[in-house]
Amino acid sequence: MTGSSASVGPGAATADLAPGRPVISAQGVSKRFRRKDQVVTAIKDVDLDVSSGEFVCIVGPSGCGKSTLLNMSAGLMEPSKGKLLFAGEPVTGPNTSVGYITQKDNLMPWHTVEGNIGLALHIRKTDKAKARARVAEMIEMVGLQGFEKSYPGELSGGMRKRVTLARTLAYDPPVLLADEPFGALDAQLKLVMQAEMQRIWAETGKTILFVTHDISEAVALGDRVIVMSSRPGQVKVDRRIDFPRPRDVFKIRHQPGFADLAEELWDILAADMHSGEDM
Amino acid sequence: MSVIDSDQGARRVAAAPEEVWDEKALQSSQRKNLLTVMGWRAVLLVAFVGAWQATSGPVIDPFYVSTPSDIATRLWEWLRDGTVATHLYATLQATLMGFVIGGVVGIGVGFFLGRSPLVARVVDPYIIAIYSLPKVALAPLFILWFGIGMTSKVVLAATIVFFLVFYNTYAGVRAVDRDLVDVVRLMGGTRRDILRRVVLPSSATWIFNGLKISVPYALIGAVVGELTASDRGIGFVLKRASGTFDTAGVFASLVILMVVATILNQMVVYGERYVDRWRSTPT
Ligand SMILES: Nc1ncnc2c1ncn2[C@@H]1O[C@H](COP(=O)(O)OP(=O)(O)OP(=O)(O)O)[C@@H](O)[C@H]1O
Ligand SMILES: [Mg+2]
Repeated sequence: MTGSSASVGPGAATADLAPGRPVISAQGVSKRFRRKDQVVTAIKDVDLDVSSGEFVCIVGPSGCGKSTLLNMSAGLMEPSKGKLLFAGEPVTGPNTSVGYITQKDNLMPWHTVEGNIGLALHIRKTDKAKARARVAEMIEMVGLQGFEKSYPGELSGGMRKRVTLARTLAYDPPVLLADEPFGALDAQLKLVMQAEMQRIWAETGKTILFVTHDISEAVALGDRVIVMSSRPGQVKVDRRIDFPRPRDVFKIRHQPGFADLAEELWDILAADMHSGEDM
Repeated sequence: MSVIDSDQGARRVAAAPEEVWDEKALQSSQRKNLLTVMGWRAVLLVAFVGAWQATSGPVIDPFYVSTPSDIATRLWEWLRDGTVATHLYATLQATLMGFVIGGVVGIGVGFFLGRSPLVARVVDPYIIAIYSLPKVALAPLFILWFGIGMTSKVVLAATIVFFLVFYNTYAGVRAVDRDLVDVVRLMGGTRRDILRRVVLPSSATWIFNGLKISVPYALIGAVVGELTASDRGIGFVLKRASGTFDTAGVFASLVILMVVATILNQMVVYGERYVDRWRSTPT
């Protein structure tokens, strides 16, 4: 866990994140898991650069290693082969420069919504009054007013996901890893949250690596969309999305070119879809 | 007051009796149930004690079963001459000290091993070996080491409590969700943050459960220690009565232990309610 001073580990929040420089850089990264006597290659020879300030979306069949890639970027796992650099340095421990909205909502069941959202602020010893104001702001942003004192066990899946989002945004990490953050939301709320995400990204200049199952979401939000192949996951297509910013996520689907682009990416994805499923 | 106001008031009054009536009926039926249960309990007790009193002598030799009246007399004597006070105090002191020491050490070691998987793996077989040993069998050894005084009883009670609390704490710490630990680490949390924000709250239920089941065992430890060798305590009184063929004294000691154990268990029930209330409110 103790990384050398040159590598990214605990306390590396000051890593060099100048605009345009690569923040996350996967170089020939492969990851294998051993399960009993069986070896699973989750991803294979992935090359991927995410520049500072970029919004990159990843789509790919289930089980192709999207979460694995995010886990490695967060420093929760190490590549079995290749190099994974963060701001130019190898990731050797929990990467405290990233906020990670995991696929499973890892909320503390013994804390209320408020307590969960304020968790990082308490850990980082933010001034109490400031923390309280920030928590209130976040609760309003994700539309959970009235549920401040509820426990995660009393919330719906979509609500828990929103708490996770609020908890991560509350402490304003420079890089966001988001694993299907809006997957559990209804269509309407999903659009509202997408708009919010885009606004925050534009205002704060964060770097965002965003995994989704929803191609139109990827096209609407991303500067680039990465399509991965089925397991072992590889980068199949890395497509730049040139729609002007700011984008109106409520209407962009009707913009000329959007449907064609989505269909093109869908065809690439669908070619792999069923062979990659974990059954 | 306007007409409308009083009209609303009237409507409220009209609606009220129905609800109140329902609740009252429920309450009174509950109370009636409780009375019935209590009544039958009293009947059972009186019948049992009465039968005991009546058959001891004509049917069964009082040498074996004494009589309720003799036992009551003995208890009354012991209460008046300070026997109960002195010896119960000694037993409770050993129980409490054993419980506290065993509990604290058990939680500490449970946490340490729970957070150090390698050490835990190394010592695992030894812990299992000692764990499977019936702890009361250690009583003679502790008497040898610590003498017949209070210390050997405290150590025996503490040893029994330690294993129960340790085991539960360890299991609780091991059951901590790794993903939640990672959440705190990514936020820049230190080992202390992880302990305080994840490990402790997540294992609290397990630890409390360990403490809860230990309460009666602490008493067992103290009494077994006293039975083995001592000069004080209810266990000592019990053994002395038995040694002098004083059946009434034996039963009187058992009654005292029964009452004490019941009170201790009842305290645990209340303690649990208190902790549950604390758990359901935010920190
Ligand atoms: N900790 C682990 N231990 C063993 N195998 C793992 C582990 N994590 C992931 N895997 C395996 O690696 C592969 C990729 O998993 P991953 O969770 O990254 O997929 P994914 O692309 O995120 O899928 P989904 O879209 O369903 O979330 C799967 O086959 C999975 O079973
Ligand atoms: Mg996943």
